[in-house]
Amino acid sequence: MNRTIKQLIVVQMKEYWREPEVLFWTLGFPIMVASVLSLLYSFKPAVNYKAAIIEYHARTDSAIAKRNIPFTDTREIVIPGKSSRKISLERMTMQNAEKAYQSGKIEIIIEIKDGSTVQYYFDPANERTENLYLWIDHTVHENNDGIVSKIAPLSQRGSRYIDYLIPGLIALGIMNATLWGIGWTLIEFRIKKFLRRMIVTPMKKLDFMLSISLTRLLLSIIEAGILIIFAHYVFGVSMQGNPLVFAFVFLSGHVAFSGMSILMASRANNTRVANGLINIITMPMFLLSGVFFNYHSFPDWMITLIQYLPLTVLADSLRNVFLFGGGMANVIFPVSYLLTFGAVFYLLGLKMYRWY
Amino acid sequence: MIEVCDVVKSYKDQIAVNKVNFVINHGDYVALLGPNGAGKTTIIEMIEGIIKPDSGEIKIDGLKWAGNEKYLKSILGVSLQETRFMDKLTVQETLKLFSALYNTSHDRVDDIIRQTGLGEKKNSYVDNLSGGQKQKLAIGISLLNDPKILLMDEPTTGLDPQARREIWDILKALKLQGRTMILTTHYMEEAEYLCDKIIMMNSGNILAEGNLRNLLNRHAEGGIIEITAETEPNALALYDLINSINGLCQISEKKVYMKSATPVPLLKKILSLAEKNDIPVNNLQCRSMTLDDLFILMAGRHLHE
Repeated sequence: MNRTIKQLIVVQMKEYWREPEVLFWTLGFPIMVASVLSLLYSFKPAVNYKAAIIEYHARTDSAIAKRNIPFTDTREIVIPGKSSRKISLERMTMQNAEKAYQSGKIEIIIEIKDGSTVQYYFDPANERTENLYLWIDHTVHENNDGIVSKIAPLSQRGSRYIDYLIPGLIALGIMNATLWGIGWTLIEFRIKKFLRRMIVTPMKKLDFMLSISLTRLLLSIIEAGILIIFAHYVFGVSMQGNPLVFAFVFLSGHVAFSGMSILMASRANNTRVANGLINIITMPMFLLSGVFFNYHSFPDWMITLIQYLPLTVLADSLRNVFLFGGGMANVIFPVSYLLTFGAVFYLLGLKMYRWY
Repeated sequence: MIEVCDVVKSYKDQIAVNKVNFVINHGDYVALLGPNGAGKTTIIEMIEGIIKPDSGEIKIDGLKWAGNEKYLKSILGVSLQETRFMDKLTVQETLKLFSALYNTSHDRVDDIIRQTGLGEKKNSYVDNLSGGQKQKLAIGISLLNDPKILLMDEPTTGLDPQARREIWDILKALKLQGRTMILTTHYMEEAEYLCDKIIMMNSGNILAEGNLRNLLNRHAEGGIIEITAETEPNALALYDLINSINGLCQISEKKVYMKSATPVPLLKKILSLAEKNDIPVNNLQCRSMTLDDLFILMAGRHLHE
């Protein structure tokens, strides 16, 4: 290695090492996340899948008992070879099961047609659910050779994975657009001393914050609009609820994450620190909030916590309107929660805000 | 009028400004002259209302910042040290943005472009401007609200001589319009060229203030002797030697400075002592005093350090 390269590496390492905040976010933070997650997952089974089993008649019951199908007397199946993964079974009517499937509360519907046929309902496009089907079906066949398995693909609109995914992606878009668009921009303005220049003008600080937030709202609307149009024309995804209610939920999500962005950006004066902060906020929600897969397979105590994460509240509410046609009465509580959350963080952020 | 009374500002255990007092009258062009760390920017930022003094009082037009923010911001034109604007906005767009913040008419933007000589660059991105052009833009922005008082924090630092001269011309022209200006700088030529009054600062304290002629007359009767030694240890030996016969000398790197009302006999004496003690001397100068000399004699360091 020549002297120039060696020296360049040395100075960059020194610069890195001499920034304690950067050191924390790049070295300490991943270790912290790894420790917390390993701690979390050491307490309880990592994954607890949920499936609906359709209620059946007594006549079928006795046939099932004869066949020794495991669904009759158990509420839980352990996945073969994966003792840490279990499938919880819940009896419900077909109508309720379909609704639970659409909202992501269960991942597969199992119906025992008669003593010898088990029918599975799920979207085969979802690989995770397909694996789940294979695991369940393996358990069924382990005990009974004569059982016939059938798959009834849930591919009608509203039941497919893409239907579940689109509202989640819109929620994720709002979170990313605000945290990166507002938080990062504010920190960059501070570093460039642009904020300092702005506050020596008669401009009101609140006007400045509102302008940043509104700009991002406009961009988020465009982003979401493009996604909705694309999903509609390419995948046939369409909104079941009132667009105004959807817009109201969308706006409340924007307020919640704007407040969070301003609080996050209130003190940071280094883009590497900003990067770490944004990741610490977005990563847990990205993983847990059910944007891509439902969060009901986590242990119950975790679900209770996850349900209070703003991204979960937003994604669930958007899904409620988008997939089930939920009205204002169905979303008023989550919307109030998001608006309160945003307002508190907004005010706290403004109070703590360092303009230079 | 700007009144700064007993102002103190500290950062952690470091005193940035220590019981500073001065008054600036309407129409005065005043330079806060001093090296880096003298406390110039801290004072100007307290006058701008960006930071608050720990103690003491600042009044502008007889008003304190508390309760008068809107009015005071409307009469101040501020050019901060090292501001970066939005890279992908043009000169005109940047001026329009600040014009909206000051609530001035769009015509004012055209006036400013003309006044600062940025006509050819009005559609260029800020990113593509030279250092001098960016500084002209910063000054242009500070003029948008037609301010009574201009606060210029090192407006020419880092610029080449030609760009610096262009900025000086713009600032000089503004003086004819009857504005008041406080300028921080570590260039003595800038202070001499632009300002009526100079406040020399070092380590948070005012060393001297007055107009250029008064300052030099008051502190520099006679002339300055500047001796350059071959090495720094030689300069130190020379300094000790001269200090024993003339207590008014200072050392800076290889140079020893002293002021004297009778430079020629003193020079002869120093040379003879240097020869006797075998201290080689590289260069000798006997000249009129400058602000930099005065600063060295008072603070023991150059203005540009």
